[in-house]
Amino acid sequence: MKETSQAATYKLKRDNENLSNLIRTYAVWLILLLLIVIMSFISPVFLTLRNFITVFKNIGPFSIVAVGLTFVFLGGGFDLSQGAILLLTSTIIVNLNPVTGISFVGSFLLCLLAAAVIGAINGYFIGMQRMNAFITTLGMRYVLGALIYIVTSGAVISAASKSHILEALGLNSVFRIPIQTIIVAAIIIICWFIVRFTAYSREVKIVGSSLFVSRFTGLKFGRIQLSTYVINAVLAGIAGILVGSQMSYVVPTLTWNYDFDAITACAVGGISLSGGRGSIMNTLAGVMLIGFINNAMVLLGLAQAWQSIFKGLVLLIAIIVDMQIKKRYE
Amino acid sequence: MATENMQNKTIEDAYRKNFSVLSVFYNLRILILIIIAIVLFSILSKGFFTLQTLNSILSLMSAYGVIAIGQTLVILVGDLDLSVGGIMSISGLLLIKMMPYGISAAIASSILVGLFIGLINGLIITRFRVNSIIATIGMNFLLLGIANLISEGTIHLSDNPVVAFGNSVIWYIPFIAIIYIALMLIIQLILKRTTFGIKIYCVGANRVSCELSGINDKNIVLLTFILSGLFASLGGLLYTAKLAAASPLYGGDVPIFVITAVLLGGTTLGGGYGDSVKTFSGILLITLITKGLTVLNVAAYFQNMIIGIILILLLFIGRRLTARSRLFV
Amino acid sequence: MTETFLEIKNIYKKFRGVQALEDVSIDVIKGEVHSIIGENGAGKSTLIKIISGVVRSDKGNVLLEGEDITHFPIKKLFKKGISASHQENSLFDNLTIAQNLLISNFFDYKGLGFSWTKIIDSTSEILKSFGLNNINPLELVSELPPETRQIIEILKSIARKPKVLCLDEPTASLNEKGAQQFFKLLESLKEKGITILYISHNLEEVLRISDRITVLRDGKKVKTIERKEADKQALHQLMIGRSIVQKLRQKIIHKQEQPILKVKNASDGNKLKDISFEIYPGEVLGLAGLVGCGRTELAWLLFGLTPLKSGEIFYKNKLLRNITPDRAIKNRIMYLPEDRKLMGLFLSQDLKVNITASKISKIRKNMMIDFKKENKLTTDMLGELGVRYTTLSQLALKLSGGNQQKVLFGKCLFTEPDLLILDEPTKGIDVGSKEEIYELIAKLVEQGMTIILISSEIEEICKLSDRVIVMVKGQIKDEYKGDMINERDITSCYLQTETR
Repeated sequence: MKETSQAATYKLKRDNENLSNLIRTYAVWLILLLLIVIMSFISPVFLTLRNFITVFKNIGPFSIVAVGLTFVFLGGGFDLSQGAILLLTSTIIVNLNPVTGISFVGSFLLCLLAAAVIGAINGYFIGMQRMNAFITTLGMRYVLGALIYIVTSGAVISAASKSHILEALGLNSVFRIPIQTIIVAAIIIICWFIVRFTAYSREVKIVGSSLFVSRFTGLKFGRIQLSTYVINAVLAGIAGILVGSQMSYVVPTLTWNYDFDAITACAVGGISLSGGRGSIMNTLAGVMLIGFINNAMVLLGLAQAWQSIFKGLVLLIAIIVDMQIKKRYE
Repeated sequence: MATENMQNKTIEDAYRKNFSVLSVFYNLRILILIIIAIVLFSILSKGFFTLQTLNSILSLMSAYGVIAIGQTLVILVGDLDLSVGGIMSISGLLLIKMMPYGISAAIASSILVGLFIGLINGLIITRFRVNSIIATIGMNFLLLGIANLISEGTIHLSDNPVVAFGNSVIWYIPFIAIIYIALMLIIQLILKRTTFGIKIYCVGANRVSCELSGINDKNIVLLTFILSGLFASLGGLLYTAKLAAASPLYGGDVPIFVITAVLLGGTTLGGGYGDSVKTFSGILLITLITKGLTVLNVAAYFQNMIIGIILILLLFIGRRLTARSRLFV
Repeated sequence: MTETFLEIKNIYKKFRGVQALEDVSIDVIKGEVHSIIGENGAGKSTLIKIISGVVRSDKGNVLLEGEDITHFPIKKLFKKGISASHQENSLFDNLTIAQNLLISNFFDYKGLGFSWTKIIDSTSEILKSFGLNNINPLELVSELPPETRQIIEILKSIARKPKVLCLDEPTASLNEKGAQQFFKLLESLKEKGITILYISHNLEEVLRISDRITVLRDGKKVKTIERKEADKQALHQLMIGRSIVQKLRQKIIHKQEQPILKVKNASDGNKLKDISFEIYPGEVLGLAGLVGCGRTELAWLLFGLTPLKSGEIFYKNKLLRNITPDRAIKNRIMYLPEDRKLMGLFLSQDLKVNITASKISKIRKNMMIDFKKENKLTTDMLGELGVRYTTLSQLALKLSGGNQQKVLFGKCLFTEPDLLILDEPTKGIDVGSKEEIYELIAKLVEQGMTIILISSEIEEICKLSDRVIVMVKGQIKDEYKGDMINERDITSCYLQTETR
């Protein structure tokens, strides 16, 4: 009698666990689907290939930043400096060729190197020296602001004399699909593969779920955390190059939106900020939801202000619903 | 992070203290840096250290300083409020928009809105157990959107007693600075001398213990967010009074700036240590550096860079000094 | 005759589908010391939490002098005179001792300020009552050693001047001297007429101080008995509902020439001084000593968590240099930490991740994770250890203490160690699981594993070890072999030197 009731509670528990995982994984996708269905009734332009291409082109760089941040979150870290890294590489890629005559490939490699070094510095302080991630990357953000200023010499530079390859990267398409979008898709698929299947991502998740325990488990947590910051910085750097290819001019002002947008996307998608849990699919869902909401606002002719309001609302509702689901099934 | 602290503390080694000259200096770090900055700027630019400069520094730091008081309280309980920029923008815009209905109505509406947003923040964070960083980022998006709806672009206010008040001086000291310092001291007293203050430290240190000691931690957190909303709206009022203008853009970098000031002052992320006088010293240092470098014609980005480097370096030194458990080195 | 002071009536409480308490009723008489005992998970701590207002009961009442105080908020219960010290750390590290001790008393002040001198005076008074004359009430709690913290923890509940004092495992991390002082304090409280509810694992303690004893089992009350009628054997029987078959391992005295591990004059520059000893293959070496004598530090040194300052460590005839945990695991040395929740398990991860975490290379194939192999190895490991789980993707958080400990064993055994260092392997788990773990250790040794066993339970050490090393203040004091091992000698060995 007692045995059977116990077995029943175990079964109930197991079902609950699976259900909560299911709801959590697919909730954002469902909302996204709902949005697409509703919008295709409201706006005739919405459900066209051209519109979708526009959306994907718009969210391209942003999605790469968010994917990079996912690695940091999985490793239990935090990063406020990606927006600055993105701006730095975008200014380098646009300016370096006309100013110094270094070839596109050279400046491309230089951008990646710069990003990797910045990521490694962040990672060294946070992973090896165990400094607080929030404060370190906050400080790094200020430092990078000055670096961007040095690169542009404080002036607005026209990118009319951009290199041809960069130009092509920004404008050309293959079978109507922008080259940019193809690159972004490739990067996301690679990252998804890494997070889903490799032993490296397992180590990252383990370190992210508890640094202290991973020490007793014989993991080199410092190096692993450092590597997540490098990956994040390099991805932000690539996003910066893509942004650079789209820009017609570079202003040395820092627009910080990229970091907060990336944090928003991860949180909406369901990446745990306390580390160790989440996947690239989560992030992608968050990114696409925000991208389509922005697109819907534009199509409906609503002002920029409404985009901001809706982004905030979606974020708040998403995290509240997330916590409610967790509470219910715990 | 709070859990990491707790883990460090369980290790028996962690109780070894590190008495060195360096750690004494480290405890006085902000004071030393302020003195160095004053001496340096006095040497580099003739006539830097005048009453006029002091006044301009004081009035520059007041508006942000008031916001930083609220942020200090939130950080003391172990959370972050990134929505202060939005609250500040809305409060400033409301002040000007409501001016036709009378000054008191305008001020009251700004303050009420600040309190209300703080309440909503606090309720979301305490009732739904949501991460405060994300919740307040979301709120900030929302508020900046609303601020944009209220006014497209900057709106101005002229020939108004509020503006006159914002730029008035008593005994050579700007009036808004007096307000800031008074608020700062009041909060300092509340923190150190009242049960509410002690409870704030308790909540920041250990929420499980609060439950066992009969302290309602959720209510304390809620109150700190309401206070943060209040101080953010007060800061918005002072800022608008000083500039005679308000814009949705003014709030953009405020959360980051204010958090930088609080952390530089020595209040720790994760909660439990720090006070509003520390934050005062942090914000004074930043404003000193900014003002001094502006006088020397250094671009704003380099000013920020120096602040960023100081932030990282102090953290690094602190980490080396208090690396109590060798488990992590 | 005697009046009921505190009445607990038909309490029910359910946690996550598990009935933690079922129809528990206890009458507590004024001025008595009433002990509540039972296995882990019997519901003792939950009962105390319900009485002190931390947890709400589902059904049932608590009456104090006839007044119904069920579901009163904690603050109101403080005023009624009910105070408790729980197992969880409830001190605020950033506050001073004075502030901590009187934290609840603060809240009675309605005004803006309070008299600091008064608070400091009463704090030193309380500290003096415990013989802690040389402690400054203004010292920060974070700077106190763990033992003093525990004392402050207890004093904090006493400082509220309660009528009913609930103590949950108060002596768990006290040393012998501290415990003696604590019992003296308890006597004086009893003389003042304070009613005490006392929870402990330690039957000897319970028998020493109680007037009456209530036994709980699986959330139900078994019996309340008078002290006079109780003895250790009977209580044990009541607690677990069956008598334990004690299987003693045949002790082996190893005489091999080649030790598997040889430590020569090792010190860590902090606590350990000049440690030298040897371990032979297939041996169980017990490390006995007081809490804080350097046992855990020695384990950390061998596992590479702390660096070696001077001395040499030879392992399988090779000199080990710059040991780090990952190199130790590669050399087939593994350490099972004492605190499974803080140091051992990734609570927010599932069982597969936990089991395989310490040797991911075993399930790695071309940088990818071989999920099939992972599932198989994890299922095998969990089955072998007899862990009760629902699915492999169940979070470690959701297992009971005993099962978590078994998973932790699984995590260590997954690395296929030759030398396994066990630090308090049975801490905080119930008697049943304890026996299973003893059997497991015996089995591992039979398979040829070498084990270093660190434990505060001297009974456990004597039962399992082939050889026992006694540590005092970071040094090796004495060594016992084979038939020489007995509880009395070993205990007196480390106690005498410590008190002298």
